Amino acid sequence: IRDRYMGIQARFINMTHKLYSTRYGSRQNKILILARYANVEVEHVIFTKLEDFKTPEFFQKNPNGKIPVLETPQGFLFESQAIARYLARQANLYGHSVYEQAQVDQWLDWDTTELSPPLGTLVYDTFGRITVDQEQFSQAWNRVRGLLKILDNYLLHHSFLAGHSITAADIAIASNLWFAFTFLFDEKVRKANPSLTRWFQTVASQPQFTEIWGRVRICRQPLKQLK
Amino acid sequence: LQVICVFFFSSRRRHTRFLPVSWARRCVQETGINAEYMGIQQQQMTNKIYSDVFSYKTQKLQIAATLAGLDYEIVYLKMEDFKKPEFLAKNPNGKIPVLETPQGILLESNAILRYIARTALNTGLYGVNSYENSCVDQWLDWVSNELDPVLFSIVIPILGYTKPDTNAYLDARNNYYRIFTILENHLRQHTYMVGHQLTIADISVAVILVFAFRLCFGEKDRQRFPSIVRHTLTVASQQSFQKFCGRLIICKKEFSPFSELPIEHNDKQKEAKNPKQYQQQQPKKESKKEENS
Repeated sequence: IRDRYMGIQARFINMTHKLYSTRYGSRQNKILILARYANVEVEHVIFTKLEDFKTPEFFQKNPNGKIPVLETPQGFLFESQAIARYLARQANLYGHSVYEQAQVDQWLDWDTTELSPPLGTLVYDTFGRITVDQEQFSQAWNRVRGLLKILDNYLLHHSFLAGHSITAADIAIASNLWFAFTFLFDEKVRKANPSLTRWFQTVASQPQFTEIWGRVRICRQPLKQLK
Repeated sequence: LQVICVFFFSSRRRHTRFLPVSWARRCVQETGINAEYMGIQQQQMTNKIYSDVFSYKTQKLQIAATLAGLDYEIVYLKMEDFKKPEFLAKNPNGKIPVLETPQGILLESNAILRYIARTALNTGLYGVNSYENSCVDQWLDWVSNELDPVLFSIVIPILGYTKPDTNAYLDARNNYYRIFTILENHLRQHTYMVGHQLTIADISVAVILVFAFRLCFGEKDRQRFPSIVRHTLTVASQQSFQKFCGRLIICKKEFSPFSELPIEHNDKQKEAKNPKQYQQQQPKKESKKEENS
């Protein structure tokens, strides 16, 4: 109902921010969640086909030809982490000191460089977006297990990733892990990483999170690799 | 302030004791015409907390009231004032904290905490739904029935309020590990005590554990119970917590109520580890004692 209301609003009022992306995915959803925290009205312009964001007019917005792209009153922003940081500053979710800000940056960069590649391999292969052979798939799984252990050891001693309250780093990494927790991480993985599970359930139960992602769904039987 | 309190205590009109009553209002009250107007008057009273100068139970209430956005004044009393009839009229138990609301008096720090949380249900201080409300109640009761006596049976001998008794101390130590393991296992799987936000259950646990961290929660315990450390650090980083309880002090080495551990305690430990070795050593000790005597 809220989206319908926002659609009606957009016809009469120019929304300040527009998000160009596909409908549903970890990168765009984290931006929408942060927009809810920041009380920023973001109009979601949804692309359904790959060709839609390879048009020349889209290349003027983002010369890389990739989504998500945020249109702000001042200009266009690409790179989902930069958009996340932009909204986090407005939402006061960027830590309470210079050191905590750096911690948020640290975890966002870790998310981009370390966690996203192998996790993306697993998730996209499971959903059939890409095809990957068995060896690459198991290598990705091993890598992801190691990374989850890093997170778990950190979260044993810290309630949240940066500081003592929820930040953009928690939202970004939880959004990245949402598909995995719902479809890939079975009882074994969750028992091996109890602190990670505890943290994920807390972050994913926040009202702004559930508005975008829906209720927390933890998988019983994991999906297997498509063949 | 105490002089003013005494003056007001002696008044007979208890329901309007703290109001500066003007002549016109007094007429209205005594004729009883406008009861609703009196109700509005009473709401202008602020909440008052009566407490000792330092009490962890009052700190709990102050933190909760700050988080709930509830206005309150605090009245500090001395130990002698608790036995005076003016205070016993409020709380016949003669204990603090006592909250005086416009509607009446509340005793029992846990009940006052629940009252404060209910005035601001949208903050989630009392949980988000009725099940979480009951979970908060559960943990508040657990803290006062299980955690409080066990922890203070160790802390009070350390602080010197009672003479340390070896057997009682050893029993207390066993209970202490049992209770803290329960808390650790719960916090291993939950970020906060109840639900996914800070509640009064978290506040009440953290305020008591301040004593543990300062006195008896040493390096070994902190490694054994990392979730408790994590949870307490999270709650203690709140601004309202630091305003009333100060910075969390963590001891390097834990204190013991005994300057040296008593001989019986050492022997019991050794017996538990190596029963045979202990029995072999016994005759040697006895011979040494004979020599000394």
